[in-house]
Amino acid sequence: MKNKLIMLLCFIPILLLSGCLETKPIERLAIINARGIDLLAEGLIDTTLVMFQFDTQSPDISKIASGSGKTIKEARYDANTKTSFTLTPGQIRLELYGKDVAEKGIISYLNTLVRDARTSDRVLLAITDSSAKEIITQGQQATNINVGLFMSGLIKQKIENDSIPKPELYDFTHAFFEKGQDPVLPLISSAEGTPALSSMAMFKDDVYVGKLSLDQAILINMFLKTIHSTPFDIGVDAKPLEKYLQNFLSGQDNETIQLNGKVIKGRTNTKIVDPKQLKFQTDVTIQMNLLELSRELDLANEEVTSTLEEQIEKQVKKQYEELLTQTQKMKADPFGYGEIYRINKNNGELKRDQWHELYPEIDVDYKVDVKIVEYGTIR
Amino acid sequence: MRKARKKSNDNSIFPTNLEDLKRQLQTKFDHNSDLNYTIYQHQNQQLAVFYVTYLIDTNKVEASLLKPLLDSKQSWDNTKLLNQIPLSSGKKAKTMDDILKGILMGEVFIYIENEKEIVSYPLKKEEKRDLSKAETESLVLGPQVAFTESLATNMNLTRKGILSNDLVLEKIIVGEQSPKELRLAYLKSVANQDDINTMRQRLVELEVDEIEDSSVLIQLIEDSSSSIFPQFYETELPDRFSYSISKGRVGVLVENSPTGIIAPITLFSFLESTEDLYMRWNIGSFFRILRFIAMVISVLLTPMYVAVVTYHYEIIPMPLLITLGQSRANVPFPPIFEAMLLELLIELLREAGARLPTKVGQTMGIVGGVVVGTAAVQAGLTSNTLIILVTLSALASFTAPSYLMGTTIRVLRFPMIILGGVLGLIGIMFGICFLIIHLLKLTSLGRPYLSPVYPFNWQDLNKTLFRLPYNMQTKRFVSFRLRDLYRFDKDKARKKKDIDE
Repeated sequence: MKNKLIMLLCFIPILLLSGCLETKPIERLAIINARGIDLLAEGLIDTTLVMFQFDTQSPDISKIASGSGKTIKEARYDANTKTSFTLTPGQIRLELYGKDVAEKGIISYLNTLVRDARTSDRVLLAITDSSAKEIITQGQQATNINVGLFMSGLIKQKIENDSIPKPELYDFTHAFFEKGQDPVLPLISSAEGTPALSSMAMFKDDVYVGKLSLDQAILINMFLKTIHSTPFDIGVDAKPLEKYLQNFLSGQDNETIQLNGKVIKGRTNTKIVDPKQLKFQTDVTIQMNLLELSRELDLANEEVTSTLEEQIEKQVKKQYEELLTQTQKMKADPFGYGEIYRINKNNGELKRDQWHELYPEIDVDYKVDVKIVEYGTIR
Repeated sequence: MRKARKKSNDNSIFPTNLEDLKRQLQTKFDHNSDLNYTIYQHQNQQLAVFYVTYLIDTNKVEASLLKPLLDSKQSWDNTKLLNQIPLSSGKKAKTMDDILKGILMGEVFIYIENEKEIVSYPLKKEEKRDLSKAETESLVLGPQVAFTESLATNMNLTRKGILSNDLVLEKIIVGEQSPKELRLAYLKSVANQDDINTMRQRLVELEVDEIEDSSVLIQLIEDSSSSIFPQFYETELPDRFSYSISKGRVGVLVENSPTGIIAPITLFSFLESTEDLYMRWNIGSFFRILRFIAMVISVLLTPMYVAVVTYHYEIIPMPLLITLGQSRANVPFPPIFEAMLLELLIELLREAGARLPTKVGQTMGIVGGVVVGTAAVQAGLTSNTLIILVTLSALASFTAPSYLMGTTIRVLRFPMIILGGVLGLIGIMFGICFLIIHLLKLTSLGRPYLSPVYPFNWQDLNKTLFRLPYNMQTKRFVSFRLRDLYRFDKDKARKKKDIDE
């Protein structure tokens, strides 16, 4: 009897108190899937929201709304005054920051994403060339599909074949809080209205400091992780290969030979040679196959492939060195040499901003080893 | 039994004269004109022969009983009767109770006037149907025959399955108002003695007016009557019944019931089919695991849909979100109501299909599935995603080899849908925890319901969750602590014998 009473007392609240739970049936929500953040005058934040709204009245489910406020949430509530459905952030897949915002630092805006349990930790972050609003509104008109999905598709396919470092919220905050490393994010620009992933944005802490090219993004990514089946383009000097050229098969007469291939496996290994002098050594190993050559070579000849490999090695080394000096000028370290330095330091301590001063001083010796595994059929 | 005999000594109605006996019987069989009471004059003796006509094989009575009785030139007494009548299993009785019971069991009574006892022969005419194919547990491979309502036939089938004198078919009579014969079946060299004793005790001590069927008996002697899960297995397949007994379980056959009871069992027994054994081990394992997944799907799929669509839009993958959202937009009801409506529709279809004759039943299926389903979507009553989910979970629930378990799974879905619709994923988690705790506490004939998963026993896993090749299945079910654990020698099973020849 007593047991039954207790059981009853347990079940009654479940039924009665269920009214207190807020329901979120999807057909009554405007589900945001991308958000753009810009700055207005007087410290106001302007958000542009791309969302799905399942309305029986209209066949078009993608909508755009915008609002402004002092915080991102306030801006969302402001945008909500202009929509008939409740705006919900649980499905945000892409967060765009306008150039103005990025130049002032974006970490304070990430706060809302980190705190909200309903939003994913794997939100993609990106920077826009102009204002985020412009990219979104123009993009929606130009692409005629949900521009949020379009842009996250742009970035995702690059992540999938390891062409760029992962720009997810988790990776960004990780690189930000790591004292010896700085984050990199994709930069989206507008190509006649259609959004396009044009280059990478280099950050110093959370402040946008400069552009890097997409080719350089591969080099950074290869440094951060082992890359697999990544499309890879490089131009090598034609001179050492002159005598192997099959001129009757290749028309134009250029000084460089353009190669296109796929990196089957590419990785780096870095060690610190001399911590006091900030000397590093990075071994780069690339296994690749060749898919296309701008001029025909007799690849069956082992001598040719080894010469070609040498030329690619030279070129990769040059590119790495260029990337290093370029980032050293920005005082931002996308590789994480600072982390290696900190680990090998005596007390293992590195103060914030200390590495930004040391980074331009470092000296890296790149040792590149390229191996052409396959080159396909040759005529 | 012993008690009953003692009683009979006290209440003997014999010796008596034939008219008295007739009067006494007729008062007991008031308004029952079927009692045939005939008095024969033979060699200056008076003999009374009485029986209920329709319970008796009259040809046999005439040929084997009346003919020798009346043709003989000598006078009769009880001993001569028992010795010279060419019928076996004659016995003597004294009390009115024994006579009445005997008449109803189909016995013919012969009373020679002034004798101290009455003699009876069982000459029962048994009405029974022929053996037929199993209906509710139909199989593709293996023996197809099913139990019938006749206890004798069922015992015959069981004996045929286990040709061993270790097989015991203990007779127990249960029922005060209308007694029914039960048979407790077990292999005395294999089965656990505790299991046998527990089962025997539960049957013998059962005080009930009557037992309608073996499924009723199960409910009367189960470990927990309030549980939604069946704790004994009820099968109509003689091969399953004898297989279980030969692996050390205890079985019960009930007179006039076409199913046998198997105990102790585990939750996983309900997902096993004898077909798994007849198929190759890897395929058998696949189907066993498939059924397990089907059970989980069947209980959780619709509740998950309801919970996710009502509360947790953020966990739906983006491509699914769009189709889900678009199909939900047309529906005027909240998801919980929508799901209940469709589940109810499926249950109605199933129930109607089961009640109607086969030909009409098929039409029902088509009408229900195709016409009502599509019409419901077009009318905007349900989303088409939900139709798929509900059909899938209904199909999944029908894969359980035991019809009883299938219904349990289907009914479990409804509280889960309500929990999912009221509290979201937390509610579903609450429901799952509740079920798991309940299953952990449940026992079957005193043995844990979830073994061998809890208490864990890795040696038994290959008999429940999956199956291994026969040469690796050397042991019987370890968790049940059988008297004889080994089926055959492990080392000999591995030896190849056909090489030397």
